Amino acid sequence: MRRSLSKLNVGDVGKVREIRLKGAAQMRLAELGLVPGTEIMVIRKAPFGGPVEISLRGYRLSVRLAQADGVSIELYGEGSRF
Amino acid sequence: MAYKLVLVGNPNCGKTSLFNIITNSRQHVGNFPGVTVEKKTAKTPDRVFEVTDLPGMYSLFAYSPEEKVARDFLLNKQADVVINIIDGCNPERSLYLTLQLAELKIPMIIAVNMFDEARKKGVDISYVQNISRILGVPAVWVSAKTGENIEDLIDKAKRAAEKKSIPRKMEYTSALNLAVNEIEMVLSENRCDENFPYAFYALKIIEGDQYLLSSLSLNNRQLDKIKVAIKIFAGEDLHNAGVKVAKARYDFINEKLLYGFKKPELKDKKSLSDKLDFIILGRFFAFPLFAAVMFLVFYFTFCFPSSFLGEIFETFFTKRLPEIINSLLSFVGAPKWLVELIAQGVVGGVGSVLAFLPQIAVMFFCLSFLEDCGYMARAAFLTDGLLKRTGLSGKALFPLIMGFGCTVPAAMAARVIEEERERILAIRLAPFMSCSAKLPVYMLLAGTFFADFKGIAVSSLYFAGIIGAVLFGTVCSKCEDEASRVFIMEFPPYRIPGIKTLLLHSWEKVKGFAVKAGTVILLMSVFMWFLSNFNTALCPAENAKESILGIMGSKIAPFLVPLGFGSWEAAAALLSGIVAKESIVSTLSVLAAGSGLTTAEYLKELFNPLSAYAFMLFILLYFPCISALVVIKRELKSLKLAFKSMFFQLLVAYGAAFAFYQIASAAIRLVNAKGVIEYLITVVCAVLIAIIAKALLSEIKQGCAECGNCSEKSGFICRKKRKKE
Repeated sequence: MRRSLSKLNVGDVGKVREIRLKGAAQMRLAELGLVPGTEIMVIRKAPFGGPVEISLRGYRLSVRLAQADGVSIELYGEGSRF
Repeated sequence: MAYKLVLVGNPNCGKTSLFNIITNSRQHVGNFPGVTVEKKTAKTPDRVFEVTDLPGMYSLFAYSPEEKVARDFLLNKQADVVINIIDGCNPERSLYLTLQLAELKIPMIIAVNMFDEARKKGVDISYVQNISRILGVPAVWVSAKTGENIEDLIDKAKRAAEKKSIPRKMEYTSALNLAVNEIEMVLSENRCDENFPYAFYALKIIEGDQYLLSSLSLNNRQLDKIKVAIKIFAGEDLHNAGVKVAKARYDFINEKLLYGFKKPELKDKKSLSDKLDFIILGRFFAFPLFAAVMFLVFYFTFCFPSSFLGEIFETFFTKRLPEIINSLLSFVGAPKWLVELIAQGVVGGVGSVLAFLPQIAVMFFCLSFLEDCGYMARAAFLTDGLLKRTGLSGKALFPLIMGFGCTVPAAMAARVIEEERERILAIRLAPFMSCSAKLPVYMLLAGTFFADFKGIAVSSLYFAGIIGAVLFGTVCSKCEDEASRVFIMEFPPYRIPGIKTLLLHSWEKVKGFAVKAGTVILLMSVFMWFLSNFNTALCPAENAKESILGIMGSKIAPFLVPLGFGSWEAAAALLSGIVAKESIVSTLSVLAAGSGLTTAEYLKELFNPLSAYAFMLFILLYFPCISALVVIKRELKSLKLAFKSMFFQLLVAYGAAFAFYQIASAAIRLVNAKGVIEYLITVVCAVLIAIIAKALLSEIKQGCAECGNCSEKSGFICRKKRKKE
C-alpha cells in the first residue's frame, strides 16, 4: 500500500518509494538519507499539526507535515497506536 | 609554519569536545567575514597545527550560511589536512559527508568517535579498516569523551599533512560515473590545475547546485553539454538528479564501505533515549515539563543568581562608586560638569553594561545545556505546530520567551536558529515581548489611573505585545510559500553535557558581549546622559526642560497630540526611555518633584485614563533601549536593517496608540454625543485610522521582503513574480 509520509500513523513501517518536493528541501531530505529504498518507521507525531518524527538509518529525524507530504511510502507494517 | 588543520563533521558528533582536547581549550572565537557564523581557531600546544573548528554540517551542499561558509573555507584550499569526525556507533549517515570530503582532494583523516560507547554496546569495530582501505585515508578510533587515541590521531594527521596524500577517487555507479566523467571533461577545458576537485564540482552540478555552477563561468556550449550529460543520467526530470546522486552515495556506503557491518534494525529494542522520550514527550508530561524548563531558565537568567549579581554591580556602580568619585574629584577641584559626567555618565554606563553580564552568562549556560543534552530539539518539536503559522519554527520560542526578561539576551539567544531568514524574524519579534524594564512604568501608570483593575490593565499590555508579534510574523511570512519554509531537524539522543564545554561557551558569549557590544552601549549611554543634562549652548542645563532632550521633547510633543499625550514632559520621558525603559519612571518623578506635586497628582495633570493607556501601549511597542538596539544591530549584522526595524517599531507604536486613543475617545464621545459636529469628528477620526492602518499594512508587507531575505522590494511584487514563473 502506498501512502504519503504525512498520513502515516505512529509505529508504521515502510520503504520510501519516491520523494518529490519543491526547492532545496528535496535535496536536503535525500542527503539526510531519505532516498528511494530507505526503510523508515514513524516514531511520534507532534501536537497542533506539528512535525512527524521518523527513525531511519539508525537515527531520528523530525520533518514538517508540509515536507512529509511529498514523501511517498510503500507501507508494509502497520503500527499499533500506543 | 604551522599546518592548518580543519575539523569537519555532523552536528552533535563530538566535534567541539575533540577541538577542546586537541587545543587544550585555548581557543580564539571570531566570526567568518560578513556573517554571524562563529569561527573557532586555536593552536595545538606543540604549535604544529593551527586548528579551525568548522560549523557542524550534514553535507557540502550549502543550504544555510553556515554550510556555505564552511564549504567555501574548504574549497579555497585553506586547509592542509582535514579531520573528519564520524559517529562510530552509527556511521552510515556521517559517511555521507565523508564521501564528499574525499572528493575535495585535501589530505584527510577519519576520526571514528565514540570508541568507549561502541565497545560498551559491542559494536563490530572492524569495519573501520575497510573504510580506510577503500577511501585510501587513515582512520582512527577515538573517544572525544575520554581522550583515548587522540595522540595517535594527531600523529597520523601530521604525517598526512607532510605527505600530502589525497583520498582515492570513488566510482559510485557506472551511470553516474559516465555523467561525472563527461562534466569533468567540460570543466578541464578551462583549467589545467591538477589539484582542482573536478569530481566534487561535477557531482555538485548534477545535484543542482546553481551557486557553484555560476562560480565557474562556463559558456553556453559547455552548459548545454553538461545538461545533456545530466539528462542521460537522470532522465527529463533534472530536479530529481540530486536524489539519484544521494541514493548512489548511500548505496555505495552500505554495499562497499559498511560491507559486513551489522546495522541497527528499526524495531530494535528501545534505547534509554527512547524510554526517556516516551515520558518527556508523552501526552501528559510534555507540556508541563516544557513550561517548567522554560520557567526555570527564565528564573535563573532574570531572577536568582544573575539579578542578585546584577544588583550588586548596579548599586556599586550607580550609588557607591559615583559618591566616591564625586568626593574625590571635588577634592581635586575639577569643574562640576566634569565630576557629573564621570560619576553619572561614564560610571553609570559601565554599571548598566555590567548588569547584563550575569544574565548573558547564565542564559547561555542554560541554553547550551539544553542544546547539548538534546532537550532543545524536543522543545522545538513540541512547539513547532503552534509557531509555524507565524513563519517561525519551534526553535524560535526560546528567544521569544527570553524577550519577556530582556531583549538583549533574547536577541543573542536567537543564534540557536540556524536558518537565517527565521533568525532575523525572531530578532525583530523579540522586542514585541514586553521586557521586564517596562514593568515599573506600567505599574506606576496603571497604579495611578487603573488602581482597581491594575492587574488586568498590565496583563492586557503583555497580551497586546504577543498579538502584535503574531500579527507581524504572520503577515511577514504571508508572501512566501508555506512549502518553502522548511524545518528538518535531527533528533539527537540524550547526552550528559560536558561542564567544561558549557562554561567555555558562556564565557565566550560574555566576553564577546562585553568587548563588542559593551563599548558601544557605554558610548551611547554617555551620549544620552550628555543630551539630558546639557543645553543647546553646550553648558550644563538649569532644569530638564532646557536640556537638549527637553527641547527635543517639546519639538516632538505636537506629533503626539493625536495619541492623547502631547505634552513635552511625556515626550521627554519617552526620549529618556531610549537609555533604558525604567528611566521613564525616574524622569517622570524628577519632573513631578520639580513641580512640587506628588507623582500621582502630577501624572493626573499630564494624562487622563485613556491617554495613559495609549502612553503605555506606545511604551510597549516603540523602539527598544540603546543596549537592545546595539545588540540587535550586532546580531542582524546590518545597520540598515536595524534602523529599519527601529523605524518600523515606532510606526507600529504610533499606529496602535493612535488607533486606541481615537477609537476609545470616539466611542466615549458617541455615548455622550449631543450634536452633529461630534458625529462628524468621529467619522473623520475613523477615516484617519483607516488610512493609517492601510499605510501600516503596506509597511508590514515591505518589512516582509526585507526580513524574508529576498531581493524584491515588497511582498506584493514577490508574489506576482512567483506567479510569472
